[in-house]
Amino acid sequence: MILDEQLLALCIKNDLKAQRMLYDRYASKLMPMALRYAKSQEDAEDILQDAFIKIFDSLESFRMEAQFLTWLKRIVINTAINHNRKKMYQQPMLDIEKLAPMHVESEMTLSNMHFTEILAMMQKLPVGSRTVFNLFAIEGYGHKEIGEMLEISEGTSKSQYSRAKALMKAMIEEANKVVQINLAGR
Amino acid sequence: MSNFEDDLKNMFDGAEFAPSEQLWTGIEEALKAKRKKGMFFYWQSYGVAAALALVLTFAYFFSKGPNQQPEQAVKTLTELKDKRASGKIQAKADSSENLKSIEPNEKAMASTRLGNLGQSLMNKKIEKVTSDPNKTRFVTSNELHMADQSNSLEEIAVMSMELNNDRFNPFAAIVLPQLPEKISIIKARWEVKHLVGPMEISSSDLAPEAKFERLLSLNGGMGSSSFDPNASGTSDEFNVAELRSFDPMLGSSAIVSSVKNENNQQLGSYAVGAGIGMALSPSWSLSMSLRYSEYRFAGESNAYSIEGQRSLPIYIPAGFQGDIVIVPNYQLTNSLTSLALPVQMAYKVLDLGRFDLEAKAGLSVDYFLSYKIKGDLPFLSTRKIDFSETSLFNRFNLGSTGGLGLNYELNPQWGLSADLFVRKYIGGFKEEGNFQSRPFVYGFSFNLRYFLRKDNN
Repeated sequence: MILDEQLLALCIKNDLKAQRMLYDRYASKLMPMALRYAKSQEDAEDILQDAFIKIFDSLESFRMEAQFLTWLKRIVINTAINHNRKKMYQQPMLDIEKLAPMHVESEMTLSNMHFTEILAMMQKLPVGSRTVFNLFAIEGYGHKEIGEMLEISEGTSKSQYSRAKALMKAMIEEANKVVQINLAGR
Repeated sequence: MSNFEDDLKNMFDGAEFAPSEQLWTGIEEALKAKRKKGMFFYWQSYGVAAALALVLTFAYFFSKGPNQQPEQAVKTLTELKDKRASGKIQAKADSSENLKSIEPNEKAMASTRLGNLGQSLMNKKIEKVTSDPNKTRFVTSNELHMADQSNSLEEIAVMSMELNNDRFNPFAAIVLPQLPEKISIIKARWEVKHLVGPMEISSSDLAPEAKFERLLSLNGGMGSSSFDPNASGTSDEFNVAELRSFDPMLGSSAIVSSVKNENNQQLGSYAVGAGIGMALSPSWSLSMSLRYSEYRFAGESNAYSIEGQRSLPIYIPAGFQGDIVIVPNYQLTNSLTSLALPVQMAYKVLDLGRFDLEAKAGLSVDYFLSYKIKGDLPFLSTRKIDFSETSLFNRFNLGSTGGLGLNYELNPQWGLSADLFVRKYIGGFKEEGNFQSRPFVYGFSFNLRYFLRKDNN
């Protein structure tokens, strides 16, 4: 199998076959990430298309000492944030003081769930909350960093996350109930 | 971070989800659109550069051309009038003024002849070539120029005059301390009989043979050429090498893949050289030069070989061995360096005074110094071809060569030339092997020439 280094060298030369090969190798790994930030599969594919075009444009700047997949993921995240930012202007995120407190008292269990179910739930979150939820819970950024990335205050990031987590809890609990009913009914 | 976030991370860690096929279609279209845009700007840049070079070239030649010279001559005339008025006529006088000073009949006759030529004047050099006290021989440097009212120029043949000072001196009307070494005459065609009465014209001087100089020139220059390997046996079916693997079940070998070379194309390459030329007659000359060239031609390959510890590009006609790795197409560049010794006869087909055009033909001996194949994958090493192990190129080659040369004489010592040439290798000293190249080279060169003149007279 052709190595990543060889593939990159060919992609830099605008070899379309090599670009397709790189796409085939990584598209399915990056797609779940795009789906997490998007509200639908169509939306996710828009994000991924823009991301791949940026990837092919900026391959020359990639240094082999870095993890290639990590570099690809960062491009997808940045593309997704830019994609969502436009929508966030239309649905501005509120500051924590203006929101009713939402507490998540019990821990949520995800053990019975498939990632596609969680994806479907995340796609139901408002765009701002969804973006903050992804960045904090999965990507591992702090609220300060998220605030800088999304040009919101740290407090807003916290409140949006809290809101997203509460909504996710409600959806997960609902899903678990359905599972239990189904099991009891057998 | 709580268990929830950790669980989420774990859930998505390694998750895969195949996008629809339309996604690649969209990406492919975007990439192709960008490439077209890139190509447009690439060619646009070259187009602008070429147009600029063309404009500058024309500007240079026209700025040096005759159109500006009448103004210079008129300016000179005005200055001379001023000087004459102040009684400060110098040894170097303008001949147009001289003619106007020929009183009274000469001036009238000259005016008659010049009446329809307008006021366009031009300085031309006349060299004093003998110091005989009684006879001063004037030879125009090459030709006289004639102007008409539309200010277009026509060049006429070399004119050589031998004049007797006692009976005719066109400059007698003005007081000159001594005859200058170089003086200017009016840009016009005049017939000597209208200017003078008795005069002597040496018929031998007017004969074309008298103008011929045994000219030896030293040339040096550089240029660019394209190299077509034109290898026999490299048609499409031979540009594919099948890789077979022995299948013990079938008891025979099966094709598992094939190595391909595609899209061969010539690349521009540089050449430098120096030589010597010798005029054999007014029309014929012989030249010989030594030329160092780096030829390049490109192609694509879909495989490389691992030979020893090195990964090497594959150009099938040049040969390969070892383990073969099939990869997406990559670019190959073949580079050959050579020393060529062309010997050519040239015939002057057009003579426009300082410009002349020559047709050339001759033979050339070429010796290849090196042959390298480079692939543009970063991990590939350069393949160096041993001429003793490949049948593709002969190290020694004999070729026929020909072309056109445009020469321009800057002054009696220096000249420039631009050559277009082709060279076809007509045979070598080795014929065995699957592939045999009969290269074809074409290109251009610019040369600076230094003349070592020997006048027959």
